[in-house]
Amino acid sequence: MNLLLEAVQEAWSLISSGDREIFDITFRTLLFAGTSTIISLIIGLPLGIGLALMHFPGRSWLVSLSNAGTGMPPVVAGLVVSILLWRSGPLGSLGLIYSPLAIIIAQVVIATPLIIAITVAAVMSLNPIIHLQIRAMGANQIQYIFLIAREARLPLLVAVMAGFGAVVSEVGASLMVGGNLSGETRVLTTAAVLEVSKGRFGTALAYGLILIFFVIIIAAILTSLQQRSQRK
Amino acid sequence: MNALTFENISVYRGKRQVLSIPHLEIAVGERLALLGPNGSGKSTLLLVGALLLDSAEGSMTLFDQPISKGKLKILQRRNFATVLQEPALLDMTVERNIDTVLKIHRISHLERQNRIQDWLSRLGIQHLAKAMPHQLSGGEAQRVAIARAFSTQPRILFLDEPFSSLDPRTRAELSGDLRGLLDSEAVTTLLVTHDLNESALFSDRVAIMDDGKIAAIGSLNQIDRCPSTPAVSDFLGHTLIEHNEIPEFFLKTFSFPDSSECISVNPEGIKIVAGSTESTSVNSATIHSIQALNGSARLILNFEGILLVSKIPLEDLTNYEIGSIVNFIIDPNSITFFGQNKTLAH
Amino acid sequence: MKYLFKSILLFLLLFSVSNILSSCYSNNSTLLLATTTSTENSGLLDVLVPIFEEESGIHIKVIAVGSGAALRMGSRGDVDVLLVHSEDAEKLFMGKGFGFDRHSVMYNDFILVGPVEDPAGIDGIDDVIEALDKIAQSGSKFISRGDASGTHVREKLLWSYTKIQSPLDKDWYIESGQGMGATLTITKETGSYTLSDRATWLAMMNGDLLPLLMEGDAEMLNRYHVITVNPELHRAVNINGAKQFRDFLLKPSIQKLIGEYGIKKYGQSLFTPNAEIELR
Repeated sequence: MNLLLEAVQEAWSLISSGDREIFDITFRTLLFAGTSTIISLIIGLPLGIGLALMHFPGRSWLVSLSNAGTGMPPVVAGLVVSILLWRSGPLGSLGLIYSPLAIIIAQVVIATPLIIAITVAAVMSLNPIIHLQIRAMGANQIQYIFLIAREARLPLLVAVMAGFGAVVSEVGASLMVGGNLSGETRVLTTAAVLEVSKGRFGTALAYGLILIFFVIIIAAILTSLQQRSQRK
Repeated sequence: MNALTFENISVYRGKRQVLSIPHLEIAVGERLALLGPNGSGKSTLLLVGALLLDSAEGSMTLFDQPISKGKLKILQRRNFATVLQEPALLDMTVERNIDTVLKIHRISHLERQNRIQDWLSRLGIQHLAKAMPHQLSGGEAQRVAIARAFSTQPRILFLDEPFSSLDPRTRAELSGDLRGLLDSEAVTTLLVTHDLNESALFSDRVAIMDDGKIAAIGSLNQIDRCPSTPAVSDFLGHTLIEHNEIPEFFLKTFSFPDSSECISVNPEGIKIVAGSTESTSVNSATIHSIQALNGSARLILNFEGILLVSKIPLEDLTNYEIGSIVNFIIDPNSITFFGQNKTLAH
Repeated sequence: MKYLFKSILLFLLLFSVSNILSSCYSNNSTLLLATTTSTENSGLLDVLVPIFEEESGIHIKVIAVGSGAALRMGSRGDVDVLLVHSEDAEKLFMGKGFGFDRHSVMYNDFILVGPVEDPAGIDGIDDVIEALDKIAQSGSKFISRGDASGTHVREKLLWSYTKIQSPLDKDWYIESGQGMGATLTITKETGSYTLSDRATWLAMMNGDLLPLLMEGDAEMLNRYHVITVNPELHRAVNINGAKQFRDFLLKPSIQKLIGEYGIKKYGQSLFTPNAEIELR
């Protein structure tokens, strides 16, 4: 119990002192997670909408696959991406291993199935007649996707939060593909792991608390948006 | 020039053919009503016409131009406006709903504002401009859908049973308002409905569909007088009697061609009379049930086990009671005979 | 609100794009160094790396994994230079032709640490094998790294000389599968013994030391080597950068720095430089 209290004290003093490194790491974490979530949305939204609406042979297989993807261990994603990006791997010549982009790629791999699966469910829960009406209005493919996404915006917001939450709190893949390089690819989770391995619990807890703080903020935003729509 | 032509159109659902149209022309400015029982293919035909459903074969022309594929098809779709059975409003305010479709049609900002104001007031709902869909009644929502449709100044308007989900009074109101708008806008219109009266009020030409095909096309009066198939008769509410069930009296009184398989009798042709049964043409039957529909009433008469339908004026409805006996005569001109293939054998 | 969202989107995408470009560009001015977690935890590299980057203009990426992993990565040409301390495995590595050259850099030693009460009574014993025998006899808990790292390999070697030869089936022997720092933490929390390198022990413990109970046996020397990876293993191996780093580590001014590292912070130096010998 003493250890916990000490750690909390140390964490608080570190955070409130405005320590430069903590700030850098936090900013970097949010930047990576934000970028990968946006990219996952750009890939996953249209795919999810298409999967929900189109009928082609093998469709139910793909839907099952994307649902299964939501349960994929991030560490596995990290391992696969590492193997691809190592110099000895097929994409090695791109020189991407241990770079911010590698982390973003791994995070996109983790978040996209999640977003696809939730999008499919969200779109399928819309009144079917809406699809017909939007097409009847003369919308082209892109306009159609935007309008459907707008109609299903509340459950899609859940998808965004889920995707962001999954990647911001992920550590295994980020460690493997990013290398936890100080000043480049060190994020809150990997920094916390490093500090734990060094025995510096106060600092590790500081990183953890910041992470929890952001997770709470995300949950609060989502809840308030849901409440707003229900009150109407 | 024709607004829309259909040549050899067919649509399949799985192995089953649900629509088969060898040929259909809709002239510019024409108002055509599609009638038929559920599953007859009328909505399917409308969707094909609105370029929302593809035909497995055949071709169509739009204002004498062939139908394109891909992106150009979407542009052609913008010539149309569609109102469906449900209002299908987007989750945004009423005015944004209309604004959205106008933006898709690339109408300028100022012009969009004008049209929104204009059409909301013409449908009497300008006070609902900022309302959200869930705050609207069924009738109000459908008015928005109609305003939305007209605001795009469509060259062809497609309406798929637009009033079917509304209560009779709202339906009558809206239907009347719509007719007024159609009169002033003079746009080519295709209306799907299962309401005979509505179709008669709405247009000069109706097509009655059955089993994916157009069974009869022409004015409602023409078809009513001379239904082309038993299914059409049935849909129109005529009495249909199969060959083996035809009562003695009929066989004696009227001459049927040998080849007739069944006959249909137009309800207008069965008249209730006061006269006595001494005259050979008068018969009596028991009133089985009474129906009021669409501005007129029907007496279902039980004559020797066969149910005959007789049309009577709505105001006479209260004169009759179930179970009482009435006398009636049949106008021979109201009988249609159908031959072996269920086609006309007049 | 919409504009804010769109501009954030744009900013993020631009950032990513610039990242892609810089990543792809990175070849000759980047050096990939694989080393062990204990080396990283000692903090020595935090001092040396900035100096090297300043002098050479090369950007080093330090990947800290276990010795085993470091050598495997070297064998595929996934890294350019190794700084490891696992003699037998290194000799095997060189024997297979994976390395271009190998040089001694420095050494430190391993120590046995354990609980204050010292139930096995190893305090002050000179012979490490004897100390391990006593631990085995007393049945006191012993935490092993169990991660194929240099420390773990050495530990297994030492056990092989004891009476029991291998403690793997004993229930007082626990493998943490983690780095030295984490293992020391577990050791302290569970009142166990463990074999640690001095540097990590000093760097981690920082005043709250697990008592050092046994040191000094010649079997407990921990020798560090720098190995440049054979450029024939992969096109992208930065052999020039690797050579520069090797020369850097071996030069007298840096060797002196290595020898002084730790004195200010812990009162004793963590490493002893020994760069005179070239090894094959």
